[in-house]
Amino acid sequence: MPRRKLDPLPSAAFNILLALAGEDLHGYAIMRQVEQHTCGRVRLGPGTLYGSLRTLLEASLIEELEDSSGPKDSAERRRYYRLTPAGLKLVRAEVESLAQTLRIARAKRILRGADV
Amino acid sequence: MSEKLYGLLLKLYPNHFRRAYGDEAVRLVLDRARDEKGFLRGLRLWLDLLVDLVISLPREYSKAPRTRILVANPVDGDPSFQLLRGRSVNPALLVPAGLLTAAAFWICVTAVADSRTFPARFPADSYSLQAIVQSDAALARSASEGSGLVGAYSYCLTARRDIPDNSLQPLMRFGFAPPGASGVALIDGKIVQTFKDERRLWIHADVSAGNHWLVLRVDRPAENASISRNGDFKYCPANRG
Repeated sequence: MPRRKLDPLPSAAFNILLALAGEDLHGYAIMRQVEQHTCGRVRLGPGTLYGSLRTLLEASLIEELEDSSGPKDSAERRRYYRLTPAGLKLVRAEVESLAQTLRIARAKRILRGADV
Repeated sequence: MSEKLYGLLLKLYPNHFRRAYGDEAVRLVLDRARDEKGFLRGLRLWLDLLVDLVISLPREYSKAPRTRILVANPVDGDPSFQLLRGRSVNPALLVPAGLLTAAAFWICVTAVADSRTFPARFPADSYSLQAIVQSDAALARSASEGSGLVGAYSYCLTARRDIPDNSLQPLMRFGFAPPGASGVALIDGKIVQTFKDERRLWIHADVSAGNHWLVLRVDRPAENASISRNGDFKYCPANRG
């Protein structure tokens, strides 16, 4: 079921998976990571962020962790998210696809600049 | 301030989203408000939130779980229902639901209004003539049997108020072909009018509010009959010819 929602992988979901690739993060940290990765072009709002997180959770691409170090009050406790092996596999496939696209673009000399 | 404002916007989201992520969403906004100070950055924050609202709201409602109601095992023989999941109101359904409600309301109001005016809206003359046709058969039978008379028209009529016999409006009117008809009119078995060779017969009588039986015994069929048109005297729902 969720597979269909994530095929093709929405941009927000891809950015979240990419942000979680290095470390476990809570919602606000994910939003900041995504903003940083996209040079400020993408700032995930709460609706998009948590809606995407839920879709990824349902697809078992990420899992939820409780913040054991935080306050005991559940309202104050942050929820952290971690990439699952399936999520890592999916984001890797997506990145490889993009890399392939990038190689084609380079070969066709579409891109300009030293960093490409 | 930001918390309260965003709390209001959050109310637009479906219940399932608010329950699962409401606290975290508010916390994210507070974190951003704390880190993004200044007029322009604050403006950008709220623009982001509004854009996010427009984008994510329809998606969240499309994902909202539907309520499932199952018939549970009867308790002591009484059927019972079990609500398995809470339902959030889908705003997209409010407009069609409102239209349907308005249409249903209009139908009910119209039906009630029609039922109250039913006797007046019913074509009184054709109703009376239908009774006459039925009585014509009885008259024809009487004539063929050589009884010398006589047919009878019988109506259940409802008076909305007490009507005196000097009322301007007759209770009923009958028309007869020349040379006219003779007979007697009875209300609730009591003779209220006798007549001889009448071509245009107007029935006047003292009647109290309520249902009454009007019987007209005549020696020939009527050509037409009609009831008072001022609404004080009407056919009962169950009339008989």
